[in-house]
Amino acid sequence: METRDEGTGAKVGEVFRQVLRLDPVGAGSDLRLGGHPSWDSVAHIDLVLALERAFGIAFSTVEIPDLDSFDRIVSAVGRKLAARAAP
Amino acid sequence: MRYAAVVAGKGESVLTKLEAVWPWLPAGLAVVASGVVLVTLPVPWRRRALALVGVGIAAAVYRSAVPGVVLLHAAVFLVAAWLGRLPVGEPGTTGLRLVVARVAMVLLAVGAYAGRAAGVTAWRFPFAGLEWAPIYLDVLMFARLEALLWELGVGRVVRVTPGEMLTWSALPFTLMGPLLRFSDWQRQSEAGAPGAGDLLAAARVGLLGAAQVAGVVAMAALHAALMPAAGVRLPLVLRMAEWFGFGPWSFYLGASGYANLAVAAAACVGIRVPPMFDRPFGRPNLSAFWAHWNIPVTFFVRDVLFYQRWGFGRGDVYLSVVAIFLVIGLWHSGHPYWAIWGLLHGAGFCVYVAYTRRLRAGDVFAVRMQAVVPGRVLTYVFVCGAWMAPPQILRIVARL
Repeated sequence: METRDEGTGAKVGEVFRQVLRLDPVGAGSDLRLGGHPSWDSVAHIDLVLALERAFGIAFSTVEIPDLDSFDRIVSAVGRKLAARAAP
Repeated sequence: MRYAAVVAGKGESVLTKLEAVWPWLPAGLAVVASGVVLVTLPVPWRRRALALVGVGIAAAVYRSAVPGVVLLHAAVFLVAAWLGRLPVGEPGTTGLRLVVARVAMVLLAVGAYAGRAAGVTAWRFPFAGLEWAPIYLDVLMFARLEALLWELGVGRVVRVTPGEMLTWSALPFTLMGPLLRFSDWQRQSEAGAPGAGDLLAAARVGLLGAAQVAGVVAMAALHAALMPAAGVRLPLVLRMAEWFGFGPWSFYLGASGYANLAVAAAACVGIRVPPMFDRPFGRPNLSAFWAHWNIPVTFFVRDVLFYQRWGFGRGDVYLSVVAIFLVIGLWHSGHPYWAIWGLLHGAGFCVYVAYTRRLRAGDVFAVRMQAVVPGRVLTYVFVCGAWMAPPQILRIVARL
């Protein structure tokens, strides 16, 4: 059975593929902002906006610099979703 | 021209000549001296010696500006100490701490700009036979203090002690960069002794830095041999050599050479300092160029300004791009040259953003352009052109 984290990771991966034309799994687990030509600071803005649309969440400007790896993004999105689901 | 006059100049000391072609000479000597001192001291003494060496070097580099440096750092420390007492907000929240930090950053920026415009930075007071500057702020110090306030505001730095502030302010590798972020220093301030790998890395980076400085000197000699005497209009080929060769490369090698010497000095006490430059010329686009040029400052400005949304829900990347480059330009100086330089880069980057968005969307025209346009050449020509064009633009504006 798929866990919530795996579901979030898969959906974040789909956003990566749509926005950056980049498969985060295929690019390696250490994929980082600036570590691939497709993921520069300009693409990062578009990626964050697409994530916000896809998950119905919002990142503050002070959080955006910390979203610098695929794993960190999955964790941050997971935290936002958990906070929203909490009573 | 400057090189020709300097290299040919007689009666000037070697150091005077070297400083004319490599303006980082005082700071460069400081980091080399500190590296030598630190690496020759017994390991337990190195950390303690670092603060002492740093204070001595800061006094030697700033000289008559020391009162201004001390006063400014004391004022910022008071704000930093107050920020340290405010609670760190939850991740992603805009708490009082961040608001206060932002207000302090704006006040520092406005104060610096207004002070420079009003000539306050030129004030001097005589004491003990010397002319002292009561107010002093250079561009890298300004960036460092702004970065400190920002890191305190977002909670990356929780609090700052007077000892940490004193040491960080006077580290030989913070004076002229590349250690910009206080968090990078605080995180490593209790790090262990450097290992053999650190010292090997220090030697490798130090040698690279020395080679780059030697490259600047060689370029100065070549420049002096090739260029005609002052006052003679240069033929086109020499002007091109100046704009696209001597000018950009002598600056890059000089700044990168200094930064690499500083990185080597830091490695002597086991502190890893981020690189300042990473082969910026020859990058395939403007974004890649900026990601490898003056990296600590670029990344700081990116985090603080580029990711701002300016009150819009979706954010406006074009507005951010223009704002960021105008600010970077004016950070150098209030002279119109730097405003035009910033706007040129802002315009160029906006074109890159629009192009890259179309490329990612699979736009046929953008894909064709990617295959046809030599990105590395275009980027290099644009970057060099942006340094060369402002005086010509100012001349045209003056005629109008």
